[in-house]
Amino acid sequence: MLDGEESLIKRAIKGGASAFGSLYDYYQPRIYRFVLIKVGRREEAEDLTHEVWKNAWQNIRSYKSVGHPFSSWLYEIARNQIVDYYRARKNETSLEKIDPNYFVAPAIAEFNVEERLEIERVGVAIQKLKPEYQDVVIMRFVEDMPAKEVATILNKSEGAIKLMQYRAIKELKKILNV
Amino acid sequence: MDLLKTLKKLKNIKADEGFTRKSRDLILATSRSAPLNTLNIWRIILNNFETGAALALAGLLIFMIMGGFSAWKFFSPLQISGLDQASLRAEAQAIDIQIQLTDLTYNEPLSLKLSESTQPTQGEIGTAPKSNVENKKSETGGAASPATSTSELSIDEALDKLGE
Repeated sequence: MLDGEESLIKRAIKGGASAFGSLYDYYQPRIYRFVLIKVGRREEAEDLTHEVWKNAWQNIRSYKSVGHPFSSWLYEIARNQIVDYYRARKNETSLEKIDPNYFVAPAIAEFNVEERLEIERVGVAIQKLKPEYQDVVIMRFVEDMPAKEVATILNKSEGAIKLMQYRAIKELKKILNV
Repeated sequence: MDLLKTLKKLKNIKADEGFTRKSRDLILATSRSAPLNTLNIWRIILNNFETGAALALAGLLIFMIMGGFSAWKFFSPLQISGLDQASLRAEAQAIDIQIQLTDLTYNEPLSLKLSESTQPTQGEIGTAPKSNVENKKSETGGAASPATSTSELSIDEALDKLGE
């Protein structure tokens, strides 16, 4: 959680662009990762991330902190945005034309070719999981978020999250044959 | 492949800096008022509609209570049929009469039938032998048969005869 987050949110609700900018700087990378791992395409992930933050900015007045972290609200917007994206995509393109084995790992200097291929392979495997398993894998193992926070974001119990993460990893290993 | 390790590596994914900067500037430059105004109009309309509907319903309820509305009176079956006690009684009596009349029409042929059915029986027992007797009388020239004579005797006479 960002230091002074509550104060930033209050200022952003009142229209403080700089306060919202600070929230953007802190949460944008993880929202982008979340979207990218789920959709697999960099351009689409950028478009969707932009839409998520635009929606957040335009609707921040409706945000009410009822014990949930601000990130849970952002993740909720992102999840809805992704659902809309897949719905629109389904209407536009036939399912045969969608390549399910597509995940482009962004060019990261510290990774060699082998690592990049490995990341791409895992990315493709994650996309084959159920959406809720994807969410758990990304939040728990990529973002290292505590189970309690994930439970709050996904509106489930902590026990359910632990069970889901076990099943998700098992499923992922099965897909990857590891 | 160590799956968990590879998953951790995914955390190094970062958005392009150029995109991040451009997106941030575009979002913060976006006026929140335009879409919110459209949203607000609908929200105001909805709120007004809700308030109006609530007030109208409350008013209607008060009007009905003040006007002596009674659910029982309104939904009473007596009111629906539009009948009073006297008309109900009259109707009940009319139904009874009809029943009696039907009984009468039913009993009349029955009594007739009964009388018809009893007459031949009497004839068989009483009149037919009588007619036979009469026939025999006519045949024998008026001599009464012992059966006829015994049948015509009273019990006392019969006892007297036996005593003799």
